[in-house]
Amino acid sequence: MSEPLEPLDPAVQAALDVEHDFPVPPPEVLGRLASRFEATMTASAPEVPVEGGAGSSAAAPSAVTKLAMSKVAIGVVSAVVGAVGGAQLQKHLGAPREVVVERRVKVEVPVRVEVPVRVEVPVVEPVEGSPPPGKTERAPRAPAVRLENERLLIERATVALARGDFEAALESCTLHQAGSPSGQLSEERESLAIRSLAGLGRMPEARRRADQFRQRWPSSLLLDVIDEAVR
Amino acid sequence: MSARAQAFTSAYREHLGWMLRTVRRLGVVPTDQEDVAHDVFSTAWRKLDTWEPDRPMRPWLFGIAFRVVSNRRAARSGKEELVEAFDDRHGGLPRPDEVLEGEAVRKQVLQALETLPFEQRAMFIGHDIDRTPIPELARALDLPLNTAYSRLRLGRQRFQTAWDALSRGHTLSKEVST
Repeated sequence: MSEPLEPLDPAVQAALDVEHDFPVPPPEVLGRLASRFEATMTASAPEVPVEGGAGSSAAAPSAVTKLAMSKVAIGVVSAVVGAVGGAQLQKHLGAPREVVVERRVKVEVPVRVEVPVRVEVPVVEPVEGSPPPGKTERAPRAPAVRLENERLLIERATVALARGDFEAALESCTLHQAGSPSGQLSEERESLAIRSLAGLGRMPEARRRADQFRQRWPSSLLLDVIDEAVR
Repeated sequence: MSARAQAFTSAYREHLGWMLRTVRRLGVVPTDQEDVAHDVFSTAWRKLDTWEPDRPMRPWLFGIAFRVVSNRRAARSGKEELVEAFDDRHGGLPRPDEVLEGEAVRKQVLQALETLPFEQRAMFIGHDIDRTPIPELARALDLPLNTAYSRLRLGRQRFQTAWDALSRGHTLSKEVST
């Protein structure tokens, strides 16, 4: 039997999380790939098993075999027709000429340009005399902007964790918690915060948050990583 | 069109982006990634009878990607491609405009991946990056379970060594990467 694997080094684990979340390629790239493949699908049928189960494949020739047999038959007929026809033609035309067929294929080389942009996420401190929360006159931020800000903080925390800078990772998690306590990326934030706390040796705090995590997201895929961190 | 083909055509689109990332992680140079991804899907289409619709599609596609890239490396002399890939994608320190730290981390992950033998690399990518369960991955790569574990363990060790070296600012030499 295979023994369970040792947990990965926390910095490596965090780096692999960053790689796992690699951004989706631009829609035009995906569209181009889909178009090419759909053309292939249209032009060729897949090899499908003969209906009736695995046993019937031994009795009846498979689709590939049939295709190969039909190709052989076509080849034989073509050869006979070609030989007879060629002999007749040669009588009339004399010596055969050599014909070179050149096929030009246009190849498009995709070029992807990525312009990295650092976006600072502002931390708004409450100012004395300012309207209480909920009474602000500013329009609420669009969901897309909120999510982007969340994502940046989570990425910053993940990268800091990958460097082994647990303080910085925890700080980004705290910022995220302050700005989006129930944000869409709360699950990731809590996972990162727990691992950062464990990295800082603050195990009781890490375990307490791990218990809360388990109650809130009992079927989370991140539970394994969290359990390893607080073990 | 068979039910299996219908299921495939309605599901493959959600894996396009992941496939481009996968061939990148398997060491295909950027200019060839779309072509190789297309080859993988075309092969998958031809080999549709090997797909079990009640199982997840990704591990099956991953197994095909592994074989397509492996054959390609063998045909092109893997070493040349390795060096070419290394120079093209990762050469030297991060450029000044690579200010987003996530990019630098991803780059370092690719650099460390380059040091793994291809079979270990596939296990490492499939399990530690894609988070595919080992039995599922072993099945997709036609490996005995113990071999899959063994490759993953060895891959992890090599990756950790490379990661530590890169984190200390070392450059990986060709000796390290073979």
